[in-house]
Amino acid sequence: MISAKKLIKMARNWQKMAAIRRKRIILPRTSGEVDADGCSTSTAEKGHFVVYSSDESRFVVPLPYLNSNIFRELFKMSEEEFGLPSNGPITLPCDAVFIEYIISLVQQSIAKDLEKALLTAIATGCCLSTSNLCQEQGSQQLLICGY
Amino acid sequence: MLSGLMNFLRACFRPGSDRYVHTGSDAGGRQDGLLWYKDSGQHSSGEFSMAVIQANNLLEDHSQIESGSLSSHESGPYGTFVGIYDGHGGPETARYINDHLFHHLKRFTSEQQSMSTDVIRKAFQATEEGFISLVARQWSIRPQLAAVGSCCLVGVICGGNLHIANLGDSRAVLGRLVKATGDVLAIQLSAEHNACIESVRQELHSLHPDDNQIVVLKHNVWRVRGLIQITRSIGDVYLKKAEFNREPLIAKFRLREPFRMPILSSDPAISVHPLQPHDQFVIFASDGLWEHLSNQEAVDIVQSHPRNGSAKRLVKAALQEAAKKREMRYSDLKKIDRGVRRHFHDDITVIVVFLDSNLVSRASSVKCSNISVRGGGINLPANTLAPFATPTEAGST
Repeated sequence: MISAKKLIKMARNWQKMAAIRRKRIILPRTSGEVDADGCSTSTAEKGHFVVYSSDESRFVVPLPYLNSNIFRELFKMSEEEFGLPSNGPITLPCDAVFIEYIISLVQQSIAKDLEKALLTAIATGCCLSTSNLCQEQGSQQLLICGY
Repeated sequence: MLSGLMNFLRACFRPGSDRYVHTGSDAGGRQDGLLWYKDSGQHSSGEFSMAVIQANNLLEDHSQIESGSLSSHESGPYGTFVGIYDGHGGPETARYINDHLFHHLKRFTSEQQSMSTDVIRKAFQATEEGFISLVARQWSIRPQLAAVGSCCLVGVICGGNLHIANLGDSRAVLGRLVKATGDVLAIQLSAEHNACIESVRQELHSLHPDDNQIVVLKHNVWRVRGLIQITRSIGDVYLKKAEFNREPLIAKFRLREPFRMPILSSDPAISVHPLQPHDQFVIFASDGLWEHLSNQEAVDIVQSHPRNGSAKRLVKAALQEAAKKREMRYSDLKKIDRGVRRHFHDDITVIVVFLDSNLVSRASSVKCSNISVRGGGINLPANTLAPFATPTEAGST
């Protein structure tokens, strides 16, 4: 079990990392657009897969993200929550802001201790919606609370 | 910049399991990544084609085709045996069936000196009893084995008849030529035992009138006791015998109240179909195929292409459909590793058995050579990962 002191330290690091401005490469997409070569964008571009948030935002995510422990954990939770649907897309049991946050963390190649803290937080189910994510000083700075 | 980042991420992440993947031939089939296939072979009454795609970390679909003597004696009767075993909770039950069911069948055929529904029923029963005693023997060291089970679909072609026996939600579909139109019609030969079917739920309610929780709808999926979709199986001993529904079995499989009668059945539905000259082929497949292809779509694919590679073609068509549903490219779906791949599609096993009417009508006493092929897949070396390393693994399907 991680001590409270260590968690606070992690949260501070986390806050700092989240504060670093970054250019996002993944954005929620609305389906039905048509791209340049006339294909419907409902099929993700090469090298990507698609997940939906519980509030129905669509995320087009690079395939290597499937190897991250956090995505694997979210997929496992999706299975527990929604089963393995045979007829539609994958829905992760968290909202759009949280998925964006996770993607941004994986993008920055998340530090091991931070990943561990996040996995613990996910496992205890205390940070899967934005209501549990306190936002400070604008949208770039996020701090997990609820411990 | 972006590609640099991706390379970095790739390097940071867990190494893939590709090192266990090999391409080349093995006992009767070829392995190409997560796909195993045998494009063509000869059975007692024609050709066959077989393919397996793995999605689970440990392949839960097992399968076999046996041709030649269907009894313990070389005197016959002769014919073809097909088995599709779609496991859940782990691969152990499906593997066990693959190792034992056909031997039991041969033993009972010898005893009765003919093939019959009674022989098949007894073979299923002996397999179920054998697996229960295995669970009992391992109860103290591997209690999770009680929560592993498997569907079991069997086809036996013998003496001009096709026997179909089924437990669970795999399916056999016959392609029959309609002379007048030249069309090949899909005829379903088995019925699924899945709680998503209303008549199956009604049957459960009538068998368990005092249990209002016998089937529960959770996230639009009907599950028996909220745990499992199928209503008949081999294994799943924790839902058949109360003595295996207690500690040390993990809590999520334990029912609050003890049960007096088995919740799942192991009694197969068996039917006999006299084969007709215009019966072209039978497709045997696990539900992984049928959740993406209709009976007629599958029959049309087999009918409109060469026989060679039919099973692989069906698997590919199902994967293309799975990719479409997940809103991604088929070429990308194929890159996903086993394990996490299960979120994109199920393990899929397909055996297409072609029927040569001259050979089908031949008497079961006419000798034919013995052939035995088993569907393959990738398995970790035994000492790397025990199938029951964690409770969640035993629970995932």
